[in-house]
Amino acid sequence: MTFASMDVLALAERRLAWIDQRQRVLAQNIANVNTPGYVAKDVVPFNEVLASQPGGGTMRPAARMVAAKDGTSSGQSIDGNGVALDEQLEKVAEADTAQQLASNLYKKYLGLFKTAIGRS
Amino acid sequence: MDLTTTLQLSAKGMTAQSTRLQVIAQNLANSDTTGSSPGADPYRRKTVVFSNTLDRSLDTTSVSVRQIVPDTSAFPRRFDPSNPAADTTGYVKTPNVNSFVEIMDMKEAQRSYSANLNVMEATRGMMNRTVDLLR
Repeated sequence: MTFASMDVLALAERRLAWIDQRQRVLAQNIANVNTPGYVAKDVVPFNEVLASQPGGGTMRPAARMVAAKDGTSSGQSIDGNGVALDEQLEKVAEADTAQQLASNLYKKYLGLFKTAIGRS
Repeated sequence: MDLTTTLQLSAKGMTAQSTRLQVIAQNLANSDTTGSSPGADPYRRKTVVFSNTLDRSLDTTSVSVRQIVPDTSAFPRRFDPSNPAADTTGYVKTPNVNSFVEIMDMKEAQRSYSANLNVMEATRGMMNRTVDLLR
């Protein structure tokens, strides 16, 4: 096994940290679905985070906040609230699947190491 | 852990929505409450205002009920001379509660509440999977 496989663990860890942050932003959006004047937020996409800090530490904050692009396109309600509930819930489902994938990947790689040292 | 903050944010949203439901229930229960003396004002409808404010314990902003404000719209009048709240012309002021508006509001609160609940369930699944990494 080469050292490159360690990179997969680090990458999965960063991905998990990013999803974690995104889930928090989405929860905030949904909690504010009836707050006047609130505009939906989202985090910077993961590929952009990777591009801007390629070898970044695993625990570095993954993203800064940006106003959601699609949240405002579906129009604001009369009180200036720009949260589209269906879009937000879709993003939550997306984050859920992504987290499942990343954590499974992490587990499988750890499993490989366990096999290598003889503990299955 | 960051995911617990997410759970708390959803919980705050649920608390805010249940306060809203409480006010709606109060409005509906009082939809026939007139004044007790001649010409007195009846029950005035209340509404809830939410705001996104900084929560120091969570170190992020979260939703809360800013205030419960009275609805300042005019009271409808009904001709009912036998009512103790009737004025000299025989008209009674009735509450400015429209049950259709309240029920619509209730549905919206319900929908927002279950959206928060969905996020909570998704977050809980994430936490479980993270814990499973240790097994």
